[in-house]
Amino acid sequence: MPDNTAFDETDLINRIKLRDQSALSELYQRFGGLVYGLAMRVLQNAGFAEEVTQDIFLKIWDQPDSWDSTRGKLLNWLMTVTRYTAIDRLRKEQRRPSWSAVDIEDVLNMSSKQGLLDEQDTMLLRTLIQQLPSNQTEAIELAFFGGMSHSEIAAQLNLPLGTVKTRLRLGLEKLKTMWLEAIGQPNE
Amino acid sequence: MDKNDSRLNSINAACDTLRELLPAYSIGATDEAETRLVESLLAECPEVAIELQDFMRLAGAIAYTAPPITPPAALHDKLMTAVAQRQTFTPSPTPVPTTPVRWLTPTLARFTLAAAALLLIVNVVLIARLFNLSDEQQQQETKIDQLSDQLTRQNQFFAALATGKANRINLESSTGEALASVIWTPASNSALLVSNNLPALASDRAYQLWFIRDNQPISGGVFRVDEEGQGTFIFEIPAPLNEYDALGISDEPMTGSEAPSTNPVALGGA
Repeated sequence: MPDNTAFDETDLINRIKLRDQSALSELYQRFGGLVYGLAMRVLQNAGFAEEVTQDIFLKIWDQPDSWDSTRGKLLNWLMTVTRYTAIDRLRKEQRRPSWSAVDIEDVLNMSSKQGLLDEQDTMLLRTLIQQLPSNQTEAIELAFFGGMSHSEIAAQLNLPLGTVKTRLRLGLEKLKTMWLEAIGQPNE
Repeated sequence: MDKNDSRLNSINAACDTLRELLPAYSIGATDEAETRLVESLLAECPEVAIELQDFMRLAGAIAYTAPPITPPAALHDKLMTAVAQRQTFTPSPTPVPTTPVRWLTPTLARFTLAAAALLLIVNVVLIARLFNLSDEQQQQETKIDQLSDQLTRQNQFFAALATGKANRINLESSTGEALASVIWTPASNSALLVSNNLPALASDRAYQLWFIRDNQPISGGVFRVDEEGQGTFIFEIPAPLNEYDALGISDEPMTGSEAPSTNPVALGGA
């Protein structure tokens, strides 16, 4: 995980706006592993993941105003855009129809309130996911990292559509409940 | 059972359906028809739709569970080489000067939305549509670029909406047909334009939004709508919109114009 304590992301982006290549290099050195790791998790292909990673950082270079320090953490923005970009690339490579994705904005908005997840938070979430029944975890991972819809997961696993819907719903509901409780924000 | 009971049962059933689909929708796992269904139900079931926020937060967190991997060393060099090549980047063209068309200020009309939460839901639906990326790589990149630009403005906009009431300005055709709405709040320097029924554009044309004060139009940016006249546009507002006499939309070149070059397609009092 990145060291956020000594990191002024606003200053870094301002330097990028001034066309300071060393600032982009620093950003890449800091977050490249997370972006590349997520791209690899989605694409399962080093070449594609490299291309997506490069695209993400070039977007920052080309459009540094895309992100604003008052509107959420830079890494949250990077991670969300990376997921969307990687899944679109995955679907294109697999000749699947384009992804009908949902609300990146809310994810960013909420993430900005909670700040970045640190190593402990990430480990917590991984632990919580492991507490789910394996068939629910499988459905969540195929959907989240594989960009698969209900019907695509059903076809992939050769399961009835209703079964997949139930597994995904129960898994996400349970994970959300456990996660909110763990971070001290239980469901009302 | 009277009509009210029947309608209530129908709404409850619809909200139950939404509740079942919401978790999958939050991570993009609903099929196309389900996605449309969810989007149609979000506004009807605000008490369910509000749960979407927690699922979205969870989705944001799940992304971090992908283990970091050190990229190949060559990727850094490749990135920096690409950046060096872009140093010769040419700025986008400036708007083409055109002959101004004088606009008349319409009767002012002001609307207030009841709850910021409902606007959040509406925006969720609209933004989701932006992410229907096409199969074509070029289109994907274009859309992602557009999204990148809008996301930050949306964050600020949402944060402001959460703090209080929002205002709505309806923009109508000269015959009084409702074509678009602008949602704004004094707490934000961004606003949302929702087009419901603007006429389809030629491929080389775009709509341009104007803030009008003392019959002087100030550009609010250009946007396009889909074939059904639907679209969304988050834009920065230089001042609270109630400080303007009106808002207007005109059909302009893709790069926009310095002043309206055609008669207004839609006007609304601010």
